[in-house]
Amino acid sequence: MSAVNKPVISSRMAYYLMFAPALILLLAVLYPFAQGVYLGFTDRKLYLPDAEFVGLSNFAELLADDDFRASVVRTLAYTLAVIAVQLPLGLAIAVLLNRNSIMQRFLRNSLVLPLLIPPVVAGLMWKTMMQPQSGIVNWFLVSIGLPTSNWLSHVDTALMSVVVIDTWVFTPFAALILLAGLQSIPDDLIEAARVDGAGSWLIFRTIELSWLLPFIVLVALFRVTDSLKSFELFYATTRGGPLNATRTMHIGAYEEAFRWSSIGTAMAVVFILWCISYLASLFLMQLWQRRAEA
Amino acid sequence: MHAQHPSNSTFPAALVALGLAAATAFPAMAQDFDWQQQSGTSINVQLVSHQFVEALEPLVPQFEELTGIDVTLDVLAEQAANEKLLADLSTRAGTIDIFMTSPLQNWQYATAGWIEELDPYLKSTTLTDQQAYDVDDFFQGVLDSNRWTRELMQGVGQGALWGLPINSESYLLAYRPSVFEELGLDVPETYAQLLNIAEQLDDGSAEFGMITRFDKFWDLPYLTFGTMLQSYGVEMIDTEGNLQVCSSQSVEATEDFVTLIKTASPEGAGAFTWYEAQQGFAAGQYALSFNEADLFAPVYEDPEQSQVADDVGYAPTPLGPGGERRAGAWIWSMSMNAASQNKEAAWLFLSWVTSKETMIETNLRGNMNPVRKSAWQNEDVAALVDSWGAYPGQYREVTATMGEVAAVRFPPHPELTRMLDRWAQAVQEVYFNDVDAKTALCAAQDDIARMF
Amino acid sequence: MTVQRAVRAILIFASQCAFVIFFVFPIVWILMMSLKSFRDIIAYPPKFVFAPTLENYRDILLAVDGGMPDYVRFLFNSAVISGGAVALAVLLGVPAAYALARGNIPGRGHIAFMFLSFRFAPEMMVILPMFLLYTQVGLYDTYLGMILAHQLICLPLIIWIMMSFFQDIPRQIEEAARIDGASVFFLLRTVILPISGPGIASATIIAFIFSWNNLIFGLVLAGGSTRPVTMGILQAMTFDQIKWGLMAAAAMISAVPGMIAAIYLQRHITRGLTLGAVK
Repeated sequence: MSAVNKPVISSRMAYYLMFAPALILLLAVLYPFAQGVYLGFTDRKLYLPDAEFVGLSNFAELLADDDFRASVVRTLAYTLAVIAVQLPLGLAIAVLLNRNSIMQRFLRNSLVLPLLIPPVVAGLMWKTMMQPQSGIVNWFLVSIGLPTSNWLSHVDTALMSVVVIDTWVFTPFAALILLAGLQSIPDDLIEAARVDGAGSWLIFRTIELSWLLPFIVLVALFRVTDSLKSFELFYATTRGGPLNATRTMHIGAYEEAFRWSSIGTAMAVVFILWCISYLASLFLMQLWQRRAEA
Repeated sequence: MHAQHPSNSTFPAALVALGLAAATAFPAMAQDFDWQQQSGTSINVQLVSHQFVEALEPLVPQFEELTGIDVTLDVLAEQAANEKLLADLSTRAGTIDIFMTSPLQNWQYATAGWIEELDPYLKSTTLTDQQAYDVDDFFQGVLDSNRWTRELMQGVGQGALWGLPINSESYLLAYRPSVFEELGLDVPETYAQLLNIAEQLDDGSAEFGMITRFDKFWDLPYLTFGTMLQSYGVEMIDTEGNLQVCSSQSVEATEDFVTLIKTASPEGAGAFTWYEAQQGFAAGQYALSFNEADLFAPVYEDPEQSQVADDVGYAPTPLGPGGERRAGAWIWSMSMNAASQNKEAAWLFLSWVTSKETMIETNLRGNMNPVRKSAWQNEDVAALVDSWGAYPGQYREVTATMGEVAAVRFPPHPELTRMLDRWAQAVQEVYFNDVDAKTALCAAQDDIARMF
Repeated sequence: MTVQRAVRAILIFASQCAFVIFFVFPIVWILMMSLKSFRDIIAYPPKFVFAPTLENYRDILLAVDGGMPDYVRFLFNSAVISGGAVALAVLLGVPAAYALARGNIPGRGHIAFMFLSFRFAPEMMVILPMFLLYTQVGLYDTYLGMILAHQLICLPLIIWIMMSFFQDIPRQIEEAARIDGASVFFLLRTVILPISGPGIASATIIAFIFSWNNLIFGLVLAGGSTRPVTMGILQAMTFDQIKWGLMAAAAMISAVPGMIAAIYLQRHITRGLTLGAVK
């Protein structure tokens, strides 16, 4: 804070007035939130008139339930896979497109396209493309002499197939951010290194990558929290199957609430999911702030 | 009217044609019965994307003119419709007056008191045009599947009426006559025969042998595989009230089912929904479609949608080891929201939709299969259906055979969907994880017992 | 050296091809699907050469009874909802972002994080209670109700992006004005907003795309008169078959507004999302 910037009372009031409407609006929306959380502490069944407050028993039951624990592991595995694939891939694309030729400009424009297809529609389209017997993906793999896969139809490959679809839908998002990061690097920084005789790889490792770190954390923040609660892609493709191979926490909560009417249990699952997201994002935010300060 | 559907391009022609038809079809009703009694009200109707809806939509303006009631149709994909409906019913919001449903779901809705008993409306002389409506014209079994006494585990077919049927679906074998001829095979009449020829089905010009719906949800034991189970003599609960999920017949049926799929179906078979089943067979990739919905026939027979339009035959589902044939049934029905603010108007719509005339009109536009006797007797409906199959009348014969053995043979319970989901999971475990059928099914049975 | 350069060129070319096949081809495939008859769509092996038909587009776009065709109404609904939601979010979010970026409000970091945390909430948690609330207060199936619900998507994004943007504006600019005794509102309106155009534009586009693609609010909180375009696309899923041609055509049309805006404003998009990271 500079000494010049001494806030007068009236301007502090003005600041409050400025963000109060937004806050009030979101708090109004928060009311159903609170109701949802409360339901997680009841034994509410949609088709029964009465529900009792049952404290933590939904949570205790969930923790003792193998299916639930497996779904937590699956959710985390999915999120890790998404990050592990999309960060490096997004970075590679960003580096590849960080030039100003006509080709690169075309590719950059087409990168936006997947973002414009609603995820649920993207899921359905990919499901039919990945259909093992009639889909174009296997047809393509066969025509170029590669082995095929059962993709979404087999327990061993289903979760990773959703990761592939997620990669198609959301890597452009990651790449666009990282691309902006690369383009914001001052030219003289790179030039100076080049004059000193550094090769491209060395420049990338020493200058570009460190400049990009805050951007990478930002991408991670968005992708981690969105993947933890990823719903529409699963809903459109596997709805948790085959068997339980893609039954993530959010899908499990959906089943409990909308297939089985156990809204109490569903809300407990979702509340745990929200806590995980919150902690993960808090962790990443702090990481980010530390990087930003450094 | 606000019809919410992307594909009603045939609308204007149909409207004109029907405007004329209405003049002849409804005068008797209009004279003795006051269709205008609720004029000025509006109702919301929630429908599931289905051929029925496409057939019904062009007719609705006719109803609006007849009654002066403003109808808003809201058409949603099946899952989305369920979710929306549950949100409305469970909060008693009453934003939906009439909706598409089925007995299975109604058991939960009726338990909760979310849906209206229809008998008082049906019996009322002011609200129902008794003579024209002719409730006895419905197939008794189909209509009664919507009755339930609200006692757990019993009382289906008796008690109050919770919905009115709009079409019914049962199961059959669809096959490619050319492929069977090429291979010198007969269409199997028993499950044993089917197992015997399973290996050879993909030897002919069809790329793969057999396709069937096989996912991890309740439709598996309730509908397609359920048809096989029931033919093996398995009902979820026997007459003494014992669970039969891991009875010896159930184990045998499950083992045979999994063997069949592993032998005759491609590897992706563990995740096939209706979409894959219908599309795969229509694309001509399979020799046989096993225990699938009879009402896919209109798609297979349509050269615009199918590669096998001139090469498809139908046969009844195979006989079980005891020489028995039984089948599951799915009966799309319409029910009324108990929280509706416009019940009389809603009933007028419901009774109009399920009236003889409207039903036949929808049947002619592809709403299969008819639930009224008069529709099956209608010459135009008969002519439409007659051309389907390997020879004239084959489809009709097969559906008639299946109609005699199709029924809902499950105990009414609001948790039934969860139980059947668990059952399906056990079958999937046998397929994917090579778990012993008895172990998997008995574990499922224990879980199901706890859900009661 | 030349060999090395050639290898490098080949590698770059190969990776560009891979990129096109993976990211661009599916879009082309959906576009082709939208021009095919159902019979051609389900054909195997896949057909690349076919007699194109505009039937699918005709089915969803042409008026049938002189009124507005359903799909066009869905598009209109989405335009009202997403447009309105973004406008409201900008109106509320920009001042809020400025206050959070510049005002010495105690705990502003926490408040900012709280705004962001709405984005993390699983939708399943809010839809039933929200539906109940909406039907009770009469917001169900109204544009206003949908616009308010979409604040959960738009407002955090706008605040987040704009906050980062404001933090990058050199303080000297404001301080010069403040010494002259200008009020904060005046400052925002006359000094800050005029130089924030690109930031607001990019925030708007990003929020618009997320709002446009949203499914869940449109499912539960909208009824027959406000159904957005995502639900319209899903109507192509009937109980037994997906009408791929209609779905593809609907998806293509639905992508057009975003496509035009995104290509036009693409530089702003990338800028908006990341400015906060450059400090």
